[in-house]
Amino acid sequence: MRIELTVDGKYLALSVSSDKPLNLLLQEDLETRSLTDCCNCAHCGKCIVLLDGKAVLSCLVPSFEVRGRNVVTFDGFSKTRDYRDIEKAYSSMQAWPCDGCYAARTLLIESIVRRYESGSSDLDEEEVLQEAMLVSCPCMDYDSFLKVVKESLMNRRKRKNVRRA
Amino acid sequence: MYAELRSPNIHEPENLTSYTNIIQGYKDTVPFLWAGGTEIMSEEDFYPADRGSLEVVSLTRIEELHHFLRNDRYAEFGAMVPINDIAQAGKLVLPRILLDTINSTATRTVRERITIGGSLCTKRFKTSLSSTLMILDAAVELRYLKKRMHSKWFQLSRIYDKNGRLEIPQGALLSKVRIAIQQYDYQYFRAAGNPMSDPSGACSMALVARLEQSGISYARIIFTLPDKGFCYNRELDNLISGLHLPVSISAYSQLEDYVMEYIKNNLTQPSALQEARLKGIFHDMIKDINEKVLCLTG
Repeated sequence: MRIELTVDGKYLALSVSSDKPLNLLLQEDLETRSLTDCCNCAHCGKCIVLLDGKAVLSCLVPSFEVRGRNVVTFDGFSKTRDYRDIEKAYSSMQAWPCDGCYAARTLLIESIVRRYESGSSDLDEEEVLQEAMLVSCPCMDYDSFLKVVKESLMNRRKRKNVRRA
Repeated sequence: MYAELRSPNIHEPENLTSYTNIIQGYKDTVPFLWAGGTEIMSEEDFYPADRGSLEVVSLTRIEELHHFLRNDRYAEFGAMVPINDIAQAGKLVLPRILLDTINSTATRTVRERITIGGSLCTKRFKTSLSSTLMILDAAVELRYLKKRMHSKWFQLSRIYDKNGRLEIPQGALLSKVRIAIQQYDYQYFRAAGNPMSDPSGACSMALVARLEQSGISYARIIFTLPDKGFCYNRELDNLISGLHLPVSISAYSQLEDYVMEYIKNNLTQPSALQEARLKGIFHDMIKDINEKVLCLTG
């Protein structure tokens, strides 16, 4: 099956099996470096990518569903200014994920920050703590994850001059 | 890699009319209906597999399956509405037990991909959402081909057999789910374990009840063991309905023994972890209902 999609800003046309999971497409066909560690079966949470700006487990997305859509992997995201907000939060909270889950956690935090950056609703802490469970790696405790999310959100709002109602 | 494997054919109808045309074109083979894909793709051996002869109908683009409608009596959701959207849209009107069930299902990132239709039609395990909808008397619309396309509403409990196995005509499409808007005096939902990664250890319980001064006048209770099925019966409902409140310790231990025995006889032997978890959840529920009644009566 021929699919056309945008990965990290590059427009691509690929010929792949229609039921191939997105994580395998990114690993095997596009050699994405940040996705080498995942278990390929929805339980480790390390295969997170942004699909049209929202975090998804790429092992749960079939190739036919990404036709015409925009995929951002950590390789691409780490070159953006948005990434700096999260990187700064890691460093000011002194909480860093391990190398194995750094990419997945960072994209997950980015997705949560995008949900709330407009300032129209308050951060739902319970929801964030639940989201922290998506990445099964034990390197970062839930409390630190929540603090990093709050700090990243603050950095983002500050940078974009979002005033809260 | 895997170049010798043929790729399944994907059909992406944009409305129910073109869906019907596709189904009618494949009368001899049963097309494979694809909703969110969360369950199918989490199978360990999902890919690579030879599905060259498979005709997959993706329901993602069918507009009618994304609609939802609400009036004073019920809320109606298209089968492709993600369960997270149901919780967001129905925050103020849907029964609290349904919102609790949805919010306990995976995380928001995953909930945004799980569709309500898909979660009612899982084959590998049973979801807590289907059991909660059963005690809320939800109804579903099925569309199936029989010379021409028919559509018919069924009570949700009628599309499963007594152990929770899906029993709908082959190739039938679950297109809508209707949920009555009503609140109960007492609603309780608890789940333990992860039904996707460890179905043999997970379990859940849901209860809705109407309370009177000294007892329960109406109750519906359901136990879900994801790898085995549901345990839902009028007999259990009647047993809970007859309870005097607050429940005494002796009545509680009798009741617990009866319920566990009933599950073993009517479903199958739960695993040791499921049994311990079910007892814990049931104990918490009785404690909670006692607290509530004692607070009300002062």
